[in-house]
Amino acid sequence: MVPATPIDNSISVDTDAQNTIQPYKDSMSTYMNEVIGELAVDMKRLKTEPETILGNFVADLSFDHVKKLYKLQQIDLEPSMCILNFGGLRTSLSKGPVTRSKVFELMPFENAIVAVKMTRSDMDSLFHYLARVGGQPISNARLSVSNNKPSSYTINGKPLPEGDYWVVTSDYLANGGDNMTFFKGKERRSFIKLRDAIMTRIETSSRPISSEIEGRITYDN
Amino acid sequence: MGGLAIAGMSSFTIPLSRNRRKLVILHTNDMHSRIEPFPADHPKYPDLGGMARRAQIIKEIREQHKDKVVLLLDSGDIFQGTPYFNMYGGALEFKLMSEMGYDACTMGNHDFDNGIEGFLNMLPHAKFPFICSNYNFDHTPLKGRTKPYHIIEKQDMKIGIIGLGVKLEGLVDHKNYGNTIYESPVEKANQFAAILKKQEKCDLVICLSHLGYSYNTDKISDVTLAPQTRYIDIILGGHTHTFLEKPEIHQNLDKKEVIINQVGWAGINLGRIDVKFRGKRKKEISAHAPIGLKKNYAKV
Repeated sequence: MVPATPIDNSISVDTDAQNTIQPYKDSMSTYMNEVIGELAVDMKRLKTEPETILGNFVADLSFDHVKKLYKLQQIDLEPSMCILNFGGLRTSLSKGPVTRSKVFELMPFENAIVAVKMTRSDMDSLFHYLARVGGQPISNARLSVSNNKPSSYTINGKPLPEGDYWVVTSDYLANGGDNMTFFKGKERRSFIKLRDAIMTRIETSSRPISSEIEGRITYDN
Repeated sequence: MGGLAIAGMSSFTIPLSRNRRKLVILHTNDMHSRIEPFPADHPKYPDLGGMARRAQIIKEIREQHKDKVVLLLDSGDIFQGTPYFNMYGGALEFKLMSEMGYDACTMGNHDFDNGIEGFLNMLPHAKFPFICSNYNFDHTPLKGRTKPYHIIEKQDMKIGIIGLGVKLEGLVDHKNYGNTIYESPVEKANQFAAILKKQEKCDLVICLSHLGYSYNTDKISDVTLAPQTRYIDIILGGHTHTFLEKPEIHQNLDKKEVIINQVGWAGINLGRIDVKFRGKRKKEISAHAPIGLKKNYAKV
């Protein structure tokens, strides 16, 4: 609980401290308001659809971040898929220029991208969870649902054989956030902050960024 | 427990002696780079906090208590939480704290977020020492840049300070803490508190803790630390962002009183504990509700 008597606007501002802050604040606001890239489509924050353009965009760039490290042989684990959560994407992005401050709004948390080592049966729990909760942002995987249960699911277009799977997610979810209990206590590797990955994706794109609904998660009822 | 008033002051020991020395301890924890107040439309803490307001209130308290020693302390996690940290790496936090006259701080887990090097690079902006009693930095570039304990001598008062950090493994990315060795908080607290009280004859020993207030597990916390220690008078906590309504009284190994306080996070509140010394050994510790920089302030 917060006590009834916090530091609030009844307190005047110390001018010395404010003078120290001001130049930092000014140069930060210049930096934060800088346009770092452009979107070709609106990316709405929705929590009522099994799949969203915004979710696909962020899940893909997270997956691609780890996949790229694997391809560059900087890590020895090959990621199978990515799962994030709609709740963690905090604002909609509009078609057109994107500023750094918009990315901070989208991802105000300091969450890191992680990869978690899963068994074949953990993967089963993951897809059952997805079916049950009405979908979450995923990448490199597909799921068909009937009667709120998975009727089929694939990774990179193929069914899942027995074996280990490295699933890309955020440290928040890997700790069991949003009821993703199948991640708890598993071996994991940690990568950069999710926000930094989003920034880099937008900053390094040579053309306006697009994403679309592809039927990654579909319900037949 | 008990004996401390919810607001204002109330004493729980009244020893007799003439020699009165007075101390006002102000403290913060987990400020998390919250330089400016929260936005006015913030759902939980609208327009609360702000370092320039804190600077103002501290200035006023110093002005009002010229006859007393005012100590200003922080229990860690100065870094991380707003773009100010992402952009400037903590320089502005340290500068403002130096201007406010912080006397000592300990390190929280987030103070490692830019790595040992990132913290080291910011140290020139901090005109106050970091007290780390249970982080062994001997095999890192931070070697010799923090202190295992610290003594502040002002106006015939000798205040000893130790600092306890939380276990880093599993909480902080390994590459960020490198070869830092986490040592037992209980062992180190007792070792250095004994030096401060017995050898150095400090009038008061304060523990700046980033262990956390309390847990459901057997993990070490301020509440489980207190009964395992000797010679610590006050534990100023952090890490769990706990908004204690008022400082609490716990007991140490010798059944002597230990005050525990923690004031939430983000600089929303400023903690205050007053101590009056009467003679060599007796002291009277008065607790305040967290200083709101509003109502309670008038009662200070």
